[in-house]
Amino acid sequence: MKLRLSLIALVLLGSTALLCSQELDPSALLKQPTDTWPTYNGDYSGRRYSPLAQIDSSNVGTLTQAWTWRRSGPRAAQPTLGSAVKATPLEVNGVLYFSEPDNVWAVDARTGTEIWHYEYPPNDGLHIGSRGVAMYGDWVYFETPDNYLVSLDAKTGKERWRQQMADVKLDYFSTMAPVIVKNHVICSVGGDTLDNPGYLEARDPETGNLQWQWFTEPRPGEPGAETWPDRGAMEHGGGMPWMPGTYDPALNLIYWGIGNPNPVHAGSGRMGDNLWTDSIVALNPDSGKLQWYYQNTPHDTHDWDSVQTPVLFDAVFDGKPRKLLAQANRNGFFFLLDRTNGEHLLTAPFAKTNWSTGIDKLGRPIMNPAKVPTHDGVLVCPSSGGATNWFAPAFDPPAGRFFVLASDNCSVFYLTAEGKGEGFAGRDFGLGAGKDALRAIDFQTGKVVWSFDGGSGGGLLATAGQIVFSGAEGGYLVALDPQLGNVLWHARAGRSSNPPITYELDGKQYVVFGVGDSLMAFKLP
Amino acid sequence: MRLLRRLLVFSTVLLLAAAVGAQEPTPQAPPTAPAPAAQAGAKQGQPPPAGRRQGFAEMAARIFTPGAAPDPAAVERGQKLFAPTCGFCHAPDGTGKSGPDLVADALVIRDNGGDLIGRVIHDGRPGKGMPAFAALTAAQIGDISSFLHAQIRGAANRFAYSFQEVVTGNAQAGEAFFNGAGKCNTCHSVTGDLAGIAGKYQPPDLQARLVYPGPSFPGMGGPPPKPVTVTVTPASGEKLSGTLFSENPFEIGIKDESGAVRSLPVDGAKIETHDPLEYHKALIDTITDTEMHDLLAYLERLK
Repeated sequence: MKLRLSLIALVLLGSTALLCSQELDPSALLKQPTDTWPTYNGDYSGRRYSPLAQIDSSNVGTLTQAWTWRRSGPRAAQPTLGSAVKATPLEVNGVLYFSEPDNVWAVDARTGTEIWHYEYPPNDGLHIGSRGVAMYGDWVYFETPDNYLVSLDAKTGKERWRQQMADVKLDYFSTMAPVIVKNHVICSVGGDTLDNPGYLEARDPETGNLQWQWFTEPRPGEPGAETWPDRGAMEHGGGMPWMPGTYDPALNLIYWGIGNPNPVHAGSGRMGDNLWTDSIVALNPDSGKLQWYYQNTPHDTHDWDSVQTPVLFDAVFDGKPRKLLAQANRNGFFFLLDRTNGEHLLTAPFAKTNWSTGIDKLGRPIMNPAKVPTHDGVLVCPSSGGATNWFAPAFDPPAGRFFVLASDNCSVFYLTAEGKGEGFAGRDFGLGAGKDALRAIDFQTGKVVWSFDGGSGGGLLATAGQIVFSGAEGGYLVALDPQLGNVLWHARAGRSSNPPITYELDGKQYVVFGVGDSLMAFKLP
Repeated sequence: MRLLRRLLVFSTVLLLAAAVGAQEPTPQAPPTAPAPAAQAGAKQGQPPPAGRRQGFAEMAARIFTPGAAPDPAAVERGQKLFAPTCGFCHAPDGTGKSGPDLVADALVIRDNGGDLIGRVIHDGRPGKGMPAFAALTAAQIGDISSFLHAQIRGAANRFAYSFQEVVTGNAQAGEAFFNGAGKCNTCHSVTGDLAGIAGKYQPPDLQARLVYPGPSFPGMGGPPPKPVTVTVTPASGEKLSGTLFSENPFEIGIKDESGAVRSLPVDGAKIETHDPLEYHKALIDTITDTEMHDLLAYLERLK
């Protein structure tokens, strides 16, 4: 009897443990979620478009604050580049998980109450930002400034393991939110102050052991090697894939944007297109094998990159149903590709540019050789910060609009190196004359259909309630009409520091913004 | 005073945050500090930095080159040893010729006082054509390591890079542009407001400012631009005039003659602004790089 009871207890315990342990079933990532925000972009498509419509264009004006979470406790003593929530929080089972460099928090998604806070030891990595965490089952994953992938228990915040991805002594630093694809934790390294090669990795979610590594430069003799002059240039060519990519489960391809080549402003030691820097690449997530690539900026010398989200959607283009990929690139141009094979469909500017003399037959802007950095300086738009940057874009499928936070800044770019150069090998002096704006692009034509001047912040969110959420200058959070760009709601809450997210719990839709050292949630009254 | 210092530190942190890395926007880079020993090969010295510039330089150095800098005396000894001994293959500055670039070399970067490169120097790499330097002492190898680490730190911190020859233009053509196509003399005079301008700014600062003397790196690029004057006629209520204090999609801040600031909603208001820099904003789109270089060469005469 006793035995039987304890057996029953064991079975019961076991099944509860099983139920509870499955905090996030990886297959849930394949659905369009409404009660969760389970991965960096909300789903694999990168559209940041939620089907939730409780908050809509007719009632968004009545939004009220639901709660605020504010960072507390001691700060790390080491040099830090300003503390702010730049991360996109995940929301799973009513809990938000998000990060800053060296820090991860779990916060109640209904009340903003802090559940746990994990602090990683002080380290020498560059503390520039942390884009967020990934989740698989009971486990949270994040990257540290000194290049460790750390796994935490989602319930307690206790560290399970850490695995080194790169050596901080080589000036690598890691900021990306890892992305879970099947049983792969896709993670990456960043850092272009010295001339290191970039790479993407897949790691085992249970052990953190390496499954594959894909370098952003070819090896000598491989296809693409002909775009570099020699082995040395290739092995020191940079190309950091520092932002989360997207995934098409049907094609079984992940899409990632690759960073700029090194030395950053000196191109003479790396003549050629420098593949696969400044490119969008499609890889097999199980093998890390390259399927296709598209290079947005051949032979970049302006510190632009192609890490902006490759956004996936299906639509009729030019009379033909297509599986599409759209990106608003830091170089100032919007690109539309067929994501099955990388075929180019459209290139169009969405911000001020003066560096290109035209578009080549592959749709790539042609670099004006007179706008390459020189010892005496050249005036180039956009500045090194780019026509856009890490700020998340959004895509509204019914409206057919691609939204991007754009900037029209220009810089005087200098080459400071003699010869091939090391590291940045140059500088740029921004003029500070350009304005920021939220722009809506018609993906069919690439034309900017409206521009909301003063739109700025950490990123965008579109919803089926016919709303685009954003930050704006003056410390405002705003909701705009996706078709017209007019303001439907605004609240002075502080400067938007991350891309907003939305989810529904207990029949209530929440919209959550990162505002400096705080998270701020809004709902209908 | 303390508040001022805190504001200074805060703004420096913000600016650094904005200026760092391919990973964040770089709206404005500050002028350079003079070259450290690591950049001894660079041609052009700059005036010493002061005040905020110094604060920025120190913070950039802390962030991009954490840890203790190598002993300058050891760096100097190492440089003297390196150039004749290793420079033939690795170039006198270590950036590589027939031999690899040691400033971008993982083994050298990870080396600590010669613990990794010592064996390579001592034994050579016969298979790769590097001879052995068995006569070098551990102390000498330590000095070479210090020199290479100074070079690496110099590459890692771009805010300490030295400029090459920035002033290359034709001053005569610059003068002609100033008084002709550029229409600079409409508002400026080289004996009036611009007298001595070249003594106030380093060439890269001056070159950026001649295109657009806007709100560049605060406290570094010189005085704030002339204020924008503005008149707001609200949908109802009194008309207000003054200088532009702040601007966003929802309201406009105006400072009146007494220095008081008032904020008015933009919605429904008629706003008339006069920006003294309107011409410079347009100049960004029209000036050629040659005109910019020529104008800089002309203004550089105004010491």
